[in-house]
Amino acid sequence: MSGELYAIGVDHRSAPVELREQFAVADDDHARILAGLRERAGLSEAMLVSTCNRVEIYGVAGGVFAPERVLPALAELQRADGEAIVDHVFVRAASDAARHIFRVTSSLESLVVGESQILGQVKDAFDRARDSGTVGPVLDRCLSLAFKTAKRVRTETEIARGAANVSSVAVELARSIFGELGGCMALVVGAGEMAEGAAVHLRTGGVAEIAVVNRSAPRGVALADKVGGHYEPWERLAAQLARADIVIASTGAPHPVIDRALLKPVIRSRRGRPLFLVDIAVPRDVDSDVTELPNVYLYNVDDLQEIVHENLRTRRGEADRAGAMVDEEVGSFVQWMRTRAVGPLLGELQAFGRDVVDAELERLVRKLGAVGPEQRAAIEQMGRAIMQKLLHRPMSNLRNAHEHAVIPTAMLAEALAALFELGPRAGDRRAPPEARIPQATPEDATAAAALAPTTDVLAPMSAPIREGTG
Amino acid sequence: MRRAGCGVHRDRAQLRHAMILLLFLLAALAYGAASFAYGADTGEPRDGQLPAIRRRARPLLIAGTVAHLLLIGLQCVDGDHPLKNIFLATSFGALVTSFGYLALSRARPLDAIGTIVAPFGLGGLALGVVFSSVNAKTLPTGGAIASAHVGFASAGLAGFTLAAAVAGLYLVTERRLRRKKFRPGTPTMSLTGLDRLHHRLVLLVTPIFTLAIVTGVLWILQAGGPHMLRGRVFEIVAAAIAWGASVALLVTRAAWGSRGRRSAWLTISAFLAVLLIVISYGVRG
Repeated sequence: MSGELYAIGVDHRSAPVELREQFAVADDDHARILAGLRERAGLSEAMLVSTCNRVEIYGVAGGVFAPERVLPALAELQRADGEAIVDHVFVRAASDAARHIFRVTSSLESLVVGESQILGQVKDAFDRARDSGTVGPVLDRCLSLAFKTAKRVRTETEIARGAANVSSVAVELARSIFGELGGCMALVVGAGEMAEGAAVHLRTGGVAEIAVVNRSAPRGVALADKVGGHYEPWERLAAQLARADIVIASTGAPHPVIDRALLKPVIRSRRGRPLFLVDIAVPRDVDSDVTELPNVYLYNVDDLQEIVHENLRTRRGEADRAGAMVDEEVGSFVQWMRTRAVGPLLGELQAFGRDVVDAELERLVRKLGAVGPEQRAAIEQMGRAIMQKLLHRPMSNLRNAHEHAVIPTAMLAEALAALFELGPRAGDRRAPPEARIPQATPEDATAAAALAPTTDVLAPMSAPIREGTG
Repeated sequence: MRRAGCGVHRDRAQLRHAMILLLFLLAALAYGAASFAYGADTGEPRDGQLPAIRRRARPLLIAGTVAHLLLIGLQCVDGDHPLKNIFLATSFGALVTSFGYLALSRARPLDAIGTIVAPFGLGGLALGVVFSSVNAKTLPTGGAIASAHVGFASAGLAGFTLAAAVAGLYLVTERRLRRKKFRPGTPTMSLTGLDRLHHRLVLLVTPIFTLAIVTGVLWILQAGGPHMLRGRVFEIVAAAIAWGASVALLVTRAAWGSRGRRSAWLTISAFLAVLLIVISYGVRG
């Protein structure tokens, strides 16, 4: 039998960041850790996902495997405190593990549901594991399907719709006003941490030019350098407002620094160009009466937060639909695992059936003497048809069994192997067919006689069997 | 022989009428379904079913427009050409509007405007088929000038309809942004994109509309002399308002860069004035 799939680890729900960070694995360290895990924890396949919200090991193990050994092994390799983490570790196996991997990849287990980074992070982790040679057929299949599912979830649901942080919402709003931001100029008023975050987002969003206006020149220059912009002294605020399309205001001033009196002449000089003001300062930097001026759009931090909350509500609403999609895809993976696990056994069962038919056919031909090729083909066809019909139901039941059934897959497979003497216990596979064919008892012969078909075609077939087993 | 020829002619006319009826039903169904499909997706997205409905809107509008075009072709063969009366001319104008919208929206997210264009196409179609036969007020014939006037006027109506629809969408989007009701990420054109588009449409349609006014005046003078102009004071004033609004938009934009709400309202005013002219023609004949 092939191994079981496991997902073992800690995430933002199960462990605080102080514990997670002890186990976080640097990108360069993946190969060493994966090799160590295979050796110490007994995993035949393994990959490691280490992000700021989770440290998880996806692996395959067969036979006697103790999943609780995995995290201590990782702790040992990372020289971290293994005892502290024990109560925070989750272990998922088989279809639960597959579901977990699919949900993580589809961003359903993320802190911000629907965020796009996790897919890239899992892909990177998978590539690193493949480069380290620790990916086998199970993880390969599982992750390929998980990536496909994540893509489906993103395109068929609205789980990734709308920005989930204030800076991204500001960039999206700017796009709603100006379209592509390539031709836009952004003005950052203030040089604090919030201003920096917004400026970075705008730069990523494609803004062509960023000017930083700040009362303190050194801080302003430092921020301008950091975001690839240029510094302008505070006295040039009005002049820069006349040029800018997007203004991010984030000073520490106790009163508004941009008001209607300042903006009115500026707006006149702008010849109707829209001005998008984003006020992320508390206390506010932009007086609310500027919205009375034409073509001025002002959003403060509360307005942006409200949009973020609405987007997150939508995402959470979509999570159920996405979860149903994940379950559907997990089902197809589990089916593949099941077929893969019992595939060799079913092959052996069919080979056994074929051997029985061939042996009985030879015996019959020897007994009957002159049998023409057409008759031989007809007898052979009938023998194979009976064999297929007899084996169809047990094979189908085994293929469709699952681990939560009354008789789980593994037990059914064991029983089948034992009853038909298949697999390693069947002894020498090269033994003559007769040696492996169950010999009928006299009671079986009587029953066979009672059930023997009366048609001419079947009569010669049933007679030698009775004879051979008698 | 003559009787047989008449019979064939009558059979062909009957076939044409049957085809016109069939095309009318097809076009009406397609326009109606397109109106529903476009309307279903305006505003906030609500559930996963809507995008699928929305995806069908454009093919439905294309189907309606093609059936409408074939219908107008058959009507022309039947002698009911767009120059014949105001209803047929309006139907032709609605067809040009649909074509114009389909061309404009090929590479631009202008679905919201489909909610106006598709019902407009349906209305024009109904006017051209249902009402033209009931109350066909024949326009005075004037040869080439009349044809040119109706052609320019239909194109002008189509252009102003599209420009006003874009300007209307601009105003709605602008209002939502100003009131902080706009949800970023909504698949629609940006505010500046809408502003630019309706300005370009007005830039394109103003010379056409100017030609429509000139040929209209010439047609009236040709048909009945200067005293006929006195009977058309309402239409002349409305045309002057429409022309004045569109020229004001273009001049203020070129001279002072004026844009935004004021420009959008000028475009809508021009369209409303053109609509009044069409209604006046429809009512008075």
